[in-house]
Amino acid sequence: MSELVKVENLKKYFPFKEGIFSRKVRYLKAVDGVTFSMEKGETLALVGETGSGKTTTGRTMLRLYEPTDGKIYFEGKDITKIPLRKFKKTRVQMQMIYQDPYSSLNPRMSIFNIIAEPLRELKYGNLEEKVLSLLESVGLRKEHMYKYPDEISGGQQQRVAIARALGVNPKFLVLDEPTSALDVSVQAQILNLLENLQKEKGFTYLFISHDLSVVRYISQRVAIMYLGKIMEIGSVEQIFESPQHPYTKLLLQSVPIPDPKDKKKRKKLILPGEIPSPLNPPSGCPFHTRCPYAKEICKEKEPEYVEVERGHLVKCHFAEVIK
Amino acid sequence: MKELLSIQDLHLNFRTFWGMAYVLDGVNLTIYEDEVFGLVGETGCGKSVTSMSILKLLPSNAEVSGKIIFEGKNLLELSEKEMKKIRGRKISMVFQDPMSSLNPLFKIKAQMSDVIKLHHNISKEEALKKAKELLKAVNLPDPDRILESYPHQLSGGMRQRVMIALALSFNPSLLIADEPTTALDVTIQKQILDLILELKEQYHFSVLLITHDLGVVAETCDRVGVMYAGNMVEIADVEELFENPMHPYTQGLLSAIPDPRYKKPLKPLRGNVPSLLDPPKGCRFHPRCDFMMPVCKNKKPPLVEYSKTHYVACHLYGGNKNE
Repeated sequence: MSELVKVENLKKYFPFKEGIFSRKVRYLKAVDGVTFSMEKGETLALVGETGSGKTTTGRTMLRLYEPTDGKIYFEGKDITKIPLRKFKKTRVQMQMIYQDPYSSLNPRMSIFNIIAEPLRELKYGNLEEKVLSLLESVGLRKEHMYKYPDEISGGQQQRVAIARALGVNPKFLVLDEPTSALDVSVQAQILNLLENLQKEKGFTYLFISHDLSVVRYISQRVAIMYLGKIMEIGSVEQIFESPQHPYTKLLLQSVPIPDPKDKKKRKKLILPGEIPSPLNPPSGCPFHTRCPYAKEICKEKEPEYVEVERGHLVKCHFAEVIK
Repeated sequence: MKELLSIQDLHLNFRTFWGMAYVLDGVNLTIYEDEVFGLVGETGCGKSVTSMSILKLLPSNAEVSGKIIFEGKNLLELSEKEMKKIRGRKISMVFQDPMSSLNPLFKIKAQMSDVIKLHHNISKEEALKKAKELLKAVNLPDPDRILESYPHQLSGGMRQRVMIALALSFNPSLLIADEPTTALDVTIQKQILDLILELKEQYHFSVLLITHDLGVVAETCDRVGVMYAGNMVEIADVEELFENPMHPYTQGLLSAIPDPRYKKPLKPLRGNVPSLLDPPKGCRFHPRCDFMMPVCKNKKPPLVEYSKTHYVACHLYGGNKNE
């Protein structure tokens, strides 16, 4: 296994102006110093509540947003320094799948044209044949080729979006909540499809999601984000079976479990309050306002990462104390 | 257990541009006093329309037949004037998106006191006092500030609490909650669901919880009805449903959802939900069913009592009781 993507201290601040004549500039720190790396062929899930910065991280990695600071390495090269015109060649290998398949497909284009568009750009030979093989690889048939997006179901639309991304032979895919607009039975189809494609073609996935059950199913590693920072990162077993950060623990306890017998066994712990505004993040540890274990030091000093186990990093002052 | 509401053979068709849509095809269900009844199903199965028919909030192109018995009266036969005495007072409703249920132009104060004043026939001061009490009952900190806020100044979770407070203002005997937490983060979802259960204990009402999330059902409901394409296919106690699902569709749904506790293989259901403009004859699930028999294509299976706590509509079990 070798490293495909690495992000170092990635920051994305959105400026906005306020005050008379917009003289005062403030920043919304959507992503505030994120570091992680991804091996070829693995799935890393980026998990967090609304406003935690998970989507911004994904988009910044493809330079759909220009990063404010930090480095992004793709196959060992720092891609933040490449001029945008030349960057196109690299970005072809990095594709994105969005949450709402309908709004990511042009309603005026037939399925054939949607999938063929990026291939024309790359000057592909026999388009018809190529499009058909792409459709088949995502479980669609020839009869879908000349339909329009509103004539097919949501699950099929998401398959078309996947086929379009596959056409250019990418290595790295950012999947931004690819199943949260779909029904459960269709969600299972898409998750299985993504898994099979990964096995066949060795894709690397950054899987952005707020649904921890889906994350448990699809990913090998998990990063938990809160207010633009990664609070805990580790393998899927480390995160789900021995979570160390108080936020991770409480988040996991909020997940509904599809087994009524489990209800009685579990301790009832509720995570109080709501995620603070990223415009005005708390000092010190961003989680201290909701943390049941918060002490004075948490308000003052931002904790460093502690490696509790190999590959399992926790950003908490008391990571080793709280059990 | 005393019956609170009973729906008998409810049919609902919509006249549309493309022809008649057969949205509900003979739905039967009973809600008892002091219970949480969950209605699950995928998009378009008719779960929301069922609740809308209870309150008679249907568009003018709807054709309804059947019976909805509440307190000895058939709601479908009541006049609009009589319905107004039930709607919001005896049966109240909380919707999915609290932002679109609140008027963005008015402060919470005005919106709450208007509703309370109208229904209780009391002065503005008394109404405000009552509003404050209600906000306290739904655990909103600082009710005075909330009353002075506009909806956009509150978070999604807080807005949903305001809606629940309003729904409770007349001590309803039935609260219909239509996907009340779908727009919220998991941690907030947990808070809201726990709040509904707490209030139910305190005020003794029944809850009709409409959701697509089987995890939410497992954690909050006493009994569950599973709907598919306008039919009630199975009704059972929650533990029984998860342990011994009988209808092939219920079995399919349960094996298609990921479990946050461990990674299990997902078995998606084949095919797609049928169009209600031209639903399959016989059992509406037969084109997707693995146990399809010749009879399924011609005859619609009735909902039969398999045991006291378990009803199922499937020809596989038809011979057990009635036939």
